[in-house]
Amino acid sequence: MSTKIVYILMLCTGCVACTKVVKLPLRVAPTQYVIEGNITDQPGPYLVRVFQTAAFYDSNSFRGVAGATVELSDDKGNRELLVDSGGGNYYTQHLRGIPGNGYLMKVVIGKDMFSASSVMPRLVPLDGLTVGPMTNSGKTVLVAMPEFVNPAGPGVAYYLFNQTINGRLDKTLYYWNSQNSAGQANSIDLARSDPDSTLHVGDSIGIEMQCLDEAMYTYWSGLDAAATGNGGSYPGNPVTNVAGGALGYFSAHTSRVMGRRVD
Amino acid sequence: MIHASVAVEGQNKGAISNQYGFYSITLPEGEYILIFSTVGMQPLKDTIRLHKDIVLDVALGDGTGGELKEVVVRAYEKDNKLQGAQMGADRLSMTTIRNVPVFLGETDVLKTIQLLPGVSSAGEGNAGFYVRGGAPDQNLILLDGTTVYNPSHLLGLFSTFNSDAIKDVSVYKGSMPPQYGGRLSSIEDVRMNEGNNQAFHGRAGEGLLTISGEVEGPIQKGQSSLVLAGRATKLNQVLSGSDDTTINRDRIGFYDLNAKFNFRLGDRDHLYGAGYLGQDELSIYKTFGLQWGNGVASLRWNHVFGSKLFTNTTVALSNYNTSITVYVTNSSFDIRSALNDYSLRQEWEWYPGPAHTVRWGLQSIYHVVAPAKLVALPGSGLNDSSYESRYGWESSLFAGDDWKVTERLTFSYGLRLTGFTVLGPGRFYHLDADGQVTDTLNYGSGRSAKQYLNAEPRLALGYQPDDRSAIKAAYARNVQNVHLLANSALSVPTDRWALTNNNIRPEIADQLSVGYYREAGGGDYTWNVEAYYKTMQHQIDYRTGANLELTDIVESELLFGKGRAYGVEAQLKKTSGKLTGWVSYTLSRSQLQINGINGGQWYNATPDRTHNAAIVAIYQPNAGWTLSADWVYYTGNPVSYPSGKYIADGRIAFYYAERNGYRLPPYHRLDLGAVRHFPKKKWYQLELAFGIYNAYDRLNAYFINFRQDPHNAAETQAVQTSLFGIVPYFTIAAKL
Repeated sequence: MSTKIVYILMLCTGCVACTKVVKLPLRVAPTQYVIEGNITDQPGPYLVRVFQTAAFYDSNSFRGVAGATVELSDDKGNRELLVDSGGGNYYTQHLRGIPGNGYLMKVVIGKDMFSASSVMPRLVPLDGLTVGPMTNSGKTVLVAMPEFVNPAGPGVAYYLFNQTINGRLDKTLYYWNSQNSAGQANSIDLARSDPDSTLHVGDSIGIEMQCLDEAMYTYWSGLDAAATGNGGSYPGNPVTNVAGGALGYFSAHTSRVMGRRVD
Repeated sequence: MIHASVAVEGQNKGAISNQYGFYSITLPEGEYILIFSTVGMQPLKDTIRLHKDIVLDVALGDGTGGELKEVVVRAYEKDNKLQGAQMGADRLSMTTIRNVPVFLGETDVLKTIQLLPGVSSAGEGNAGFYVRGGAPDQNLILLDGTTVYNPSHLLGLFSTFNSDAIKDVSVYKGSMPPQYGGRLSSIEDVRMNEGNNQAFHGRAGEGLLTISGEVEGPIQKGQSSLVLAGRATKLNQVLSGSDDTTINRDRIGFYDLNAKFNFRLGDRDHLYGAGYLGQDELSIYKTFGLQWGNGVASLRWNHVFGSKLFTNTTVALSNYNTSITVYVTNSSFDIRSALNDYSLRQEWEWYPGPAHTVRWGLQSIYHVVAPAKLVALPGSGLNDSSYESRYGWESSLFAGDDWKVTERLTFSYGLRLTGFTVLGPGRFYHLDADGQVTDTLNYGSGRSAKQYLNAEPRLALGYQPDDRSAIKAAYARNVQNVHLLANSALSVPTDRWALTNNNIRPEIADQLSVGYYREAGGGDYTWNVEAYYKTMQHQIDYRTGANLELTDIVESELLFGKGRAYGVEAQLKKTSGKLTGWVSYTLSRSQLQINGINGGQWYNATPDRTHNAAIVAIYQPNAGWTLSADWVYYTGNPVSYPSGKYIADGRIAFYYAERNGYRLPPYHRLDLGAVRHFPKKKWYQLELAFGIYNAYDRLNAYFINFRQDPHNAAETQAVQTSLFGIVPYFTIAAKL
């Protein structure tokens, strides 16, 4: 929301273009471990990535951490050591993600130990994917809308959507929940944060719908509000479910994908 | 007439009228000449023969009519900081404020006080301002005694106060007398025009962005008066006229109305009614909408008991509301919030003899905060829902005495007792260290969930070693029970207000200050230096990534700790001659220590400004021209910049090693202005103002953000956004 307020303010002052790239004397903090673990209700193998932060003015390539011990287990007694396939990528071989189960991730790098737990919520089925026009900042743009029905409750369902357009990941984070829409059909579209963005006829789009637990929802909303570099909020690191001092997250979520061509 | 001076000719005695124009002087029997004067008005002499208590009401003229052309009407306040014990205070009359164009030729009460030492703008596009290292919500802004919660229009480009309706503003930077309280950092006591009860006057003006008008006059001559003032923007007409369909259905604007009436009910009673209504709308067609507004109304009754006792009783209400409209594909929904204050105040002022002025009274405010109500339209796919309203009852008892111990020594002492009762109905939460709920308690309507009582001593000592200098010292404690939770460094109207509850405790500040004041050059110059040290308890900051927008348990997103602020402020002022103005400079620091942020170490708070300087110069070569210039400089706000980066699910994310570890670039700006006062015609006078805002086109940083380089996905970059470059302006006004 604050981006929209800032946009209006810049419109007020006629200064939409008053931006310039500046070089700042940013300090380089000691590198941090980043752990990204995902387990879904789709067949594996599942990937846990372990890598390190880079300095702001370094290139966007991140050094993987090999030689870590990575273990995943569920609350039904299944447990598995992941296979180190180099470059900081660790894969499962047997474990199966099932909605309703709780999962635990343990990562040991030398003397550092990290752990995280996540519960895979029940599945909210993705029923369809439509594309339609909407007004964004005076322009008519084409946007995608996932079709599904919010569960009636009790409880709140949390969602994250990833959109790919012609094979490229759309960088906008789409996350919302059913707190104020229990029992209603979804009405929220994937309106991109850049007001100029529109889909075009002929685009091939794909969406992934994830149902997450509350902690992962908090992580994505916190990341979006504080860590994507947007000047509107007090910046900071999102609250992670990984204990032990690493950045990143461990997410057990359902995953449904759907694709279509914009016509 | 507020703050008029009453002097006894040939004697070192006198009085200043209070906020309701009441004054009292005790003299032995005899014949005296009294001289009444105030800024912008012709002084008046009156001879009295005193053998019993008398009531003497006088009216001063504005010096523009009549034959007394040789009388020089003083356009600026004489700096009377030497007298009394009050320190950390400033009073600016509209006459001064009018000569300082602060934003595109618009005169503005709250923007002008930001040029005083110790007071600093929170930045362009920000509604608030900082006083002695305090957050914007630590300033209590009063319009005729009633709280105005959001004093800004257009996200801070204008203040809510229409200059045409305002008489003056008094600023107290923490060492306020006991009749004031409720905020940690400052009080801005803005007073509206009383209205002329002798003849009709008016004023109409058109500026770059606004049109405004004011009328005032008697309802019954000499007995009652009415003032009406209004202002509106004309941006919507510009937008509608545009051919650009991406903006011509957007709405950007505000209006505000001020009204005040004033009835004399016999010799001893006076009735005042004052009201303010303002509303802003910013919307992008079918994309996003934002509306906010304040409404304030008060009714006040003054009564004079004999010659030494004065009382007034006020009932008032204050409303602040916001509404956000969010559009979804085929519909929209609104998120509305409101804050209402219902207050009663009874105040007494007693002049037992020439050495004492005693004030006491009580104030009681019932606060209702309705944080969010979601109103869904059909097709929005949402259910109506609302978040719990919060109720609180804040009551204060206060008493104080200004004691003139000797001709040269004044001692002001007083006490304010503030009680706050957290009231149901509602759910109250017990939280653990991570902000997770461990227990929930339900309270019924009107039941007290928690009570707080705080004593606020207020002490001030002033000593004049000679007629041209003074030294002062003060100690004051202030307590605050209404808190603004802004989870963004840019303060926006949708920031949420919260009341003290079982988790959010009353904020407390203790401030110790000392000052030296000096008159030089035969009274043409004054200068002063003040130093302060302030400690603060129960300060509020946010957990990282806090989301305050739609949650009942707002305190689970907050962290609490302590604060300290200290600094030195200096001001040199020239108050007479063709060239007037001031130079002010502040060296200061404001820090917080909160467990859970920066490892529990002290860190610089957002309002921390190392240097803050302002130069204001006004040159009046003759009656036809007023030329002005002002220059401001301040250290950039502490901000958090990334110290690294990583990837989260395919997106670049930034790593922050600490909070507020960096600063925005310094802010500085020069404004130049000129006003041509055309000769007075038979029934009107024209005024043309023009000038340049940001004369040397400094592109100050509004904010800096970080992103993946759009032209090279392998790199990241920092991007600075500025709001204003150089902007010329002109405005025209007619005085009737």
